[in-house]
Amino acid sequence: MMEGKTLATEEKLEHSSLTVEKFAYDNHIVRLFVIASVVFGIVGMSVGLMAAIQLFYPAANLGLPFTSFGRIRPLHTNAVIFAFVGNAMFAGVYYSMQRLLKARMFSDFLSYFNFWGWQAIILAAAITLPLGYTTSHEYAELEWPIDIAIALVWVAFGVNMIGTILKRRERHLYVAIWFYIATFVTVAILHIFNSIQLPISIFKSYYVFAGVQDALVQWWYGHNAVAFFLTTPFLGLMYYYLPKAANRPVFSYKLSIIHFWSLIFIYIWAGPHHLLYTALPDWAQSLGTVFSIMLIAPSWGGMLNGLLTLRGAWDRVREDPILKFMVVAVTAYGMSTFEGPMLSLKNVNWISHYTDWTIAHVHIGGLGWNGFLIFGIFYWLVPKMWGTQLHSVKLANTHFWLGTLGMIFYALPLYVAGFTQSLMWKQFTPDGFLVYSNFLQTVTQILPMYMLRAVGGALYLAGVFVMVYNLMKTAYAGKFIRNEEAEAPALQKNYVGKPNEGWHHRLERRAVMMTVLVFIAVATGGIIEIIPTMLVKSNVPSIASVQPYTPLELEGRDLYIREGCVGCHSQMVRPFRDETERYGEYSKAGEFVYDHPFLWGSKRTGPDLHREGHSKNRRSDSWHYFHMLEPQQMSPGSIMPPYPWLLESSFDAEALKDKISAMRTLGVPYPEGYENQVAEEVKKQGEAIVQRLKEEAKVKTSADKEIVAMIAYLQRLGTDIEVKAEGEETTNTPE
Amino acid sequence: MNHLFHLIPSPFRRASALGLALWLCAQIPALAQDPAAAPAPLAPKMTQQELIMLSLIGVTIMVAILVLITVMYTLVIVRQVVFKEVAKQEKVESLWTSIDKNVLTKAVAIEEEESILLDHNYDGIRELDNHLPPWWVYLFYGTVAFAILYMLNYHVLEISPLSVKEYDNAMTQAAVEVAEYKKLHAKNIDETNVAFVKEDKAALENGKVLFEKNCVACHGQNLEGGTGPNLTDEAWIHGGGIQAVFKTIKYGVSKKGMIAWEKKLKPDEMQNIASYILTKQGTKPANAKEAEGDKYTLKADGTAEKVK
Repeated sequence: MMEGKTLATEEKLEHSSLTVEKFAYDNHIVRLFVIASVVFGIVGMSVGLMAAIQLFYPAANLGLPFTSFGRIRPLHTNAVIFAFVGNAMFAGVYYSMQRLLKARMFSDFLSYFNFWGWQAIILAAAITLPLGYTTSHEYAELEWPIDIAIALVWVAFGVNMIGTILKRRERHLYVAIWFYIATFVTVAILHIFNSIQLPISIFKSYYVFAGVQDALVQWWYGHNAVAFFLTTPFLGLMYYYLPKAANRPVFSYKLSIIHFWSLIFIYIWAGPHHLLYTALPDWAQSLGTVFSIMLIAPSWGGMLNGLLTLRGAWDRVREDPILKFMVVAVTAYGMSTFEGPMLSLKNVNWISHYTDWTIAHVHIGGLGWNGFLIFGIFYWLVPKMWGTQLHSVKLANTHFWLGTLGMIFYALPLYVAGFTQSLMWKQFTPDGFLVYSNFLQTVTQILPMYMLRAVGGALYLAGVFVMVYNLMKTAYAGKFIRNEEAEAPALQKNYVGKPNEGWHHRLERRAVMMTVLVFIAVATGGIIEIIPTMLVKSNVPSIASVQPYTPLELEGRDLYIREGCVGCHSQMVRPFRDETERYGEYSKAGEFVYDHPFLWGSKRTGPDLHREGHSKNRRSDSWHYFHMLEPQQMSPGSIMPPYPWLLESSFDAEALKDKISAMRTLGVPYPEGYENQVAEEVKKQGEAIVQRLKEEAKVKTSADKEIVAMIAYLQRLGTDIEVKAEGEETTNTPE
Repeated sequence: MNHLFHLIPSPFRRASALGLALWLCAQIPALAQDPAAAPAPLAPKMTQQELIMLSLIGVTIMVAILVLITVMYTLVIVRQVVFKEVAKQEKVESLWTSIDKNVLTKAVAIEEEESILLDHNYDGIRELDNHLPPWWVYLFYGTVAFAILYMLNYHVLEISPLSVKEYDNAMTQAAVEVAEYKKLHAKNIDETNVAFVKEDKAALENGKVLFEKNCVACHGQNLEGGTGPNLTDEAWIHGGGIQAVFKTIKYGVSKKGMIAWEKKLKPDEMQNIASYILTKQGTKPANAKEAEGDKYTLKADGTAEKVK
């Protein structure tokens, strides 16, 4: 280790022989992103709170389609992930990258294009999601024109980053920069691959993949969005801001290297753990499980390097709210990266999946890791950029405790709720009956937990308001340093590495090579998992009786997507005794071959609907009609919101022609020229439903109403595997 | 001198690379076995012999790797023992220092950290060259070993059942348990022996409670009908009398939106509901839906006769 010092001296000598260049760091772009993050953070969390309240008080949706749970849930997730956390990430990256590379950003134009482009995307999301324009893929709900905009802005960010790296005045890339590179490369791959859609109109498209394949691609994306949007950039930020705030050297350079490469290589494989016990092929599920388990150590490597960097600074953690926030953030990271792999074990997933346990898990990550790290960074950044001291340490401490209490009140009740509900679902009487055969009983049981959760969310949000006040006071007390002067010598050309230089240290000055290696590391897992699933026929055994949707059912399906039904209802009966008892035969891969997109869902706030139309569960058309009008009328105590607008609005039958053509392009076997029969088919099937509604309950409606399409779709669900018994007017006795 | 040489401990590097190779081997037989269950055969057809050969090669490689890993582990442990002895000779350590050094952080003391401070300086951020925390390294090895064993277990040796097999097992076991229970607590009511329990007050009360919980949404609070038919008149769409009503409840009428309740209600509960319904015949509630189906005459024992 002795050569460390000698090398440092040599470096100095080398630098002193060069002319020192003067430049200025761009703080203005950082300020913009900080403000945007805080503003959208408040919006996103408020929407989350509203959704949380609706779960025990459905009337909180104000009776409007735009504020109904199914539509604001994606608004909440998108707002907090991409607007709050996303803007904070850009803020943190733009500040630290310039300093770590000793260079102003490559292009101010690209910086501001990045900022305004990103805000325009957020605005577009905030408008389109409440209007019901959604693709239904979780965390990728935005429709195709916005997807293209995201790709453009992201590439602008990447070009700006790589440009800055190339014109840097720091020979080697610090670990934070490695994480930023991995973030850029991987998010680009994920976003582009998961957005392959066939547009039908400006705000409607269908995913190219269907059923099992679509599910795999989506969860490969969904899981790695967590990995490469919420984790890797924030590990990079941790590596800059934590040593800065603690004023301590990073604990172990070796650990940085090993956990960085193992993390990005292993993470990408773990996506299928979101699909355990589903119709996804078993081999893919198992890969998801084992790679999740192998991910524990690489994740914890980051936590350890963060916490151990605080060695010798723990006395200050007690005093300094910035360090407090960071310690809790890193600890929350450690907890959720242990919990995640545990949830990937089949025997744990058997209990946790589709319940609130998952919601608790992601909020430990979101509120704890992302939120608290962001707050810590902002408390550090704002005084720095405004050249002053933090207005009030006391208020920052208040925020810390509000936030911590908020997390506890948020997560603990949901753990209880998840566990309770799952065990209730599975409980049988000794004579073989479900104890809680009515799904609703398992929902009303956990409503008090939902109330506590909302309290937790409100506390957390209150803390953010305290922060806003404190930061504004701080900013007003100081003077904003728009361009921060700096100087450093330019890099010498023809640099030859020191003798005995480690291979990785050598790699750290080869930015392009590093980017290529990162690409290879992250592409491997995706390719090995996805390509075989696409190509090997045996992964999706075909079922002869599975037919494409009729045009009316297809329309109903699109309405189901528009209203965000998938946010609360799964369509995946897993091979469990309680599920086949409750819903009917477990779901088969072959049943989903025409599902562009898949609608398996990830949470059951209401029951599974995959066998909703199956004769064992089939309800009357009029039941569905009244249930949509006023759910509580048909299931007293239900927390489902009413959908009266479905009864009033008419659907666009003309547009169905394009939808049918698009589906045929994607491989759904509608006969050529079927478009010409669409109007007739829709009318025929719709009239039959209208007639039944009239006979059953004297309902007067017409075949062009949305409710008719919705009923057609719901009654179709899960019926394909049934051998059609044509006995009229008989009961279903097997005689 | 060469601090970066030990960057990745060689057993670790090898173990992870081999783990990947191992998995790839494990995959081939696993993939090939899928078509046995599925109707469509895998594109390149493999003969039984080729399959066995492939599996054998896979297993051989895996055994070889396991042996290698064991040997490496042993070497590491031996090295540690040797190191420990050297350390003991130098100075007597406290138990805590010893644990920290061998298991926990293995970190250089803060007072001596100058000695491992690297020449890296990024905007004032320095880096130490501490060792990897030993327990962390073992954890990583452990998870890699778990992954290998897991894949072997499920996809090569096929010891533990995959989803569908697991389900079949659970269903078989449940069927046995339920049968056992029923043998002891026989209460096998079905449509052939269902009784009209109009004298049993408790049963009727139970029927009423269950009706209000499950049936009123469609048949109305007072059985007057709604989405479903009126149950207080003498007209029955699917047959009158205790047996037919029981049967309709039990199996449902999917075409009409009547759910099959056999999985949700116990036989005696369906008997109670059917009986409760029949006791309400002729109550003439308000807003009654008009009669649908054929007319039946109800007898005292609950049987009914169709009116010609």
